Amino acid sequence: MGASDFVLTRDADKMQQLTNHFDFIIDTVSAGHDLDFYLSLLRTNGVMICVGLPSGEEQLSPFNLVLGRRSIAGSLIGGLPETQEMLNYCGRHNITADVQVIPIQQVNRAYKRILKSDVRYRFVIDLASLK
Amino acid sequence: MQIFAARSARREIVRIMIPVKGYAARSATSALAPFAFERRELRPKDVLIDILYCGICHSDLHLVRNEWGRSIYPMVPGHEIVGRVIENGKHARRFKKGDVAAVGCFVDSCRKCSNCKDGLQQYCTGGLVLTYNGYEKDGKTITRGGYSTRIVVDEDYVLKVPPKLPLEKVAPLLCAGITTYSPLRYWKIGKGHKVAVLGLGGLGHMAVKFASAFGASNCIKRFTKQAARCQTNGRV
Repeated sequence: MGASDFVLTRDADKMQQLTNHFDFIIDTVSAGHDLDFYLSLLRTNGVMICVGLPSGEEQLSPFNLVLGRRSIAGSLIGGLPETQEMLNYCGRHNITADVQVIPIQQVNRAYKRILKSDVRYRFVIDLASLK
Repeated sequence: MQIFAARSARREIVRIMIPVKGYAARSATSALAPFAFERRELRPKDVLIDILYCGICHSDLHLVRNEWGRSIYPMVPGHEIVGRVIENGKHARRFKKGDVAAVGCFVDSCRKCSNCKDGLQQYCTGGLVLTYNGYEKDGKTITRGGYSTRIVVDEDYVLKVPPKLPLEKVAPLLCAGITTYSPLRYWKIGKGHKVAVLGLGGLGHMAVKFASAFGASNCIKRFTKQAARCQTNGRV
């Protein structure tokens, strides 16, 4: 996939080493989590970009923003020109998603597995199963 | 006269509907189940797409379970759609029959606000029409998504798919792909940047792929056992 490192957030020692480390954080988590903690991993001027939408509200203390001139930002999908640009880029660089294809009859089971994070990394419904 | 009116009204009803099979949630607590419904007749700029694949996005779960408090039932989810154009409206010219076409999270917008004019339809301030769980511009027709056999969309809101990519792997690009690509581009993330990707699901894994392709060094963070498995398999 191209990642150069990988850390479980339960690994407290390793997480400590990553304080003031990143220029950017892309936050894709769609469940509640501790934004303050992750902000502390950003370097000065670092930006945390939220793209996941948890259902609850998140708490945030200004300290981690002010002390490192850090920002927290959000971003929603993309417009038509940029979506086309992204697809073309994927075509040129052969980038696609890692998927598990299922018939639509298994959609409810797939939902249960998504809630357990038991999918690598996207379920895709094959609509031939409905025709 | 009355008879004539009734006849033409009946003909109208037959003409305007395109029957579709789908899967729908009837309430926040019910499982998805088969659901027959109808799409609108092709308007001049519409295309009819035979859907091949539709990705399952985490938003589908949030909306089916009414976790954002704005769900409309029965709901046919799905906004990562790839299919083939099987029919063109009278003035629809962008696609030929048989062309691969893709539809993402929205199927129309106001086309007049400054964001629409800048190609930032996702931030439309005049009424973005979501692919599902929204209303068409008439304000009453519920939009229904890609967990279905066919969809009718204005051709201007349909994307072209480059050749040779496996289509089942393209479907998630329409939400998970663009959702991560767009901020990486906006903030010009690339060489010399250290990037952390939080969460390794559909979005996270695409963020890692794009950030790497753009030259940034990546680090993934994950809460669950799944990631540990991936690591030992050398997949990440």
